[in-house]
Amino acid sequence: MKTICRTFHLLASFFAQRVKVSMAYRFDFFISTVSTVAFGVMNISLLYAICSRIPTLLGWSFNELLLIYGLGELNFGVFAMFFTFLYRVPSHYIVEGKLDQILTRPAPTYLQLAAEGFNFKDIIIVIKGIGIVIYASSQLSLDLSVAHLLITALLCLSAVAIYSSVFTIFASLSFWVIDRAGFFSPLFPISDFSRFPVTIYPLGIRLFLTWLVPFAFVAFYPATVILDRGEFLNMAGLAPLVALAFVLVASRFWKAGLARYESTGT
Amino acid sequence: MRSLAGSLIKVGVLETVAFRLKPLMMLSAYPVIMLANYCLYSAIFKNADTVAGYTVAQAITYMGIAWLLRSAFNTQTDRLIGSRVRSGDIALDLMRPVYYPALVFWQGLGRSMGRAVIISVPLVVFSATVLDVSPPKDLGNWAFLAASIAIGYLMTFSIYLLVGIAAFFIEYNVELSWTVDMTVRLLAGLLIPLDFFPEKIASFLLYSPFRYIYFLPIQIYLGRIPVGEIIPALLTGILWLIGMLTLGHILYVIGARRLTIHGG
Repeated sequence: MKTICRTFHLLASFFAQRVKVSMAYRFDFFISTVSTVAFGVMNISLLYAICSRIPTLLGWSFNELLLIYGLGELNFGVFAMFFTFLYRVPSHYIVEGKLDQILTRPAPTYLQLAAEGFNFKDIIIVIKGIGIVIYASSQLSLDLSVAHLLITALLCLSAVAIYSSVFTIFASLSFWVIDRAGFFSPLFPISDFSRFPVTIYPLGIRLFLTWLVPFAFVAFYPATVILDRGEFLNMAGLAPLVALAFVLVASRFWKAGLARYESTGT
Repeated sequence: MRSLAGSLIKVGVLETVAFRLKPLMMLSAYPVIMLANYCLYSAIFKNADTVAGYTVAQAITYMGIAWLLRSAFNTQTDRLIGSRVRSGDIALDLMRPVYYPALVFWQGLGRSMGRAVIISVPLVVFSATVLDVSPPKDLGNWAFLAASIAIGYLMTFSIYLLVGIAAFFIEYNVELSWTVDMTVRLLAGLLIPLDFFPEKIASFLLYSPFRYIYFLPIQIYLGRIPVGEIIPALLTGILWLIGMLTLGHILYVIGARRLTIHGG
């Protein structure tokens, strides 16, 4: 118990340190804001251009699409704040062997990495997501109850868990195939396209996005709860279970990968 | 001079081909993007024969060709210059008796050629078989098409050069490069054809130099631009190019001088 308390205390101070670091570089913070806004403008323009030409995208209006997008960005933002260290696993920690330093310390490896890589800057993505969700739901004049919000919050938590487990699995692969580049590059487009209703995709892709790389649960299904689309409620309800399953698989992958880590010998 | 360009191109090709996993991973992202876009356009056209003057076949071909061009154009020369600046290796580059922008151009061209072989060729097969991307409408325009692709490539390079040179001033240009890339995706018509936007916005977007990168070559490819309008458009593109490259040169000269002050 005492060690757990101590670990927790250490982690908290680590996180606090990271917040100070990111606030120290104001220009960096400013530039991230600009790039986050640029990315948002790009994606929203795409939705806008599509919806200026057709009344609905197979039954989904502009504001509904916007809400799905915003919720996806919100969840991605939370993931990006806490788990972007995963991008650095292949290059920094494995190829350069910086994992040695972490392994010698008596605290859980994964937590240490998360603390070291805590990325306060990406709170901007979270703020952007929240802003878009609020705008879209006010345009849709939705009638939201407390139950809606609680379920959505649970689904958002599951979404972050799904993002982090999928990225953890892909990061773990780098313990077997060592290369600076890592295996993440197909994940980003998959994530981008999970910002559309999965109903626009053919069955094969829908199954892929639901069960294999379950990014349908990071934006679309949580949004259907807010939008009160009852027909998707059963699937949306599965999100916590899918998240749990993926967390278990990811922790297996991570442990097996870590056991294979051989350092660089320097 | 010619042999110098040749060997720089060779270095670029080798750089791309030598690391197997990286191009392979990049190759894996493109089919995902193209397939998802294919589904998106299929959904857009499900209840309409034409949207914004495009048939579904034209829109899918537009998307396919745009990403094919991108797969060869995307040399990330700007990030490369940035990392040379941060590591200090830029000092070695500047000491060489070669004009630095030309050096990065030829190396970038080599990387593009490497990427064309490793990434674009498999993607052509994928586009033609899985995605029903059609061949060019009118091969009589091939010279115009080639010229427009060359202008698009040089325009991409001049943007890379400007963002790369920006690293001389701000050092860390990765976020800038990303922001510019997002802007280019939107304004060059990679994300969606520019004429999908409402007319007022589209006519505004058609003034930007970015449209020469993807939009114009694909309009020629699809035969959606009258032959009489092609030559004036290409000439305007060349003027833009001269302007951008001149700006790049000026910033390079100023930046290189500033960099010397910082060095040591």
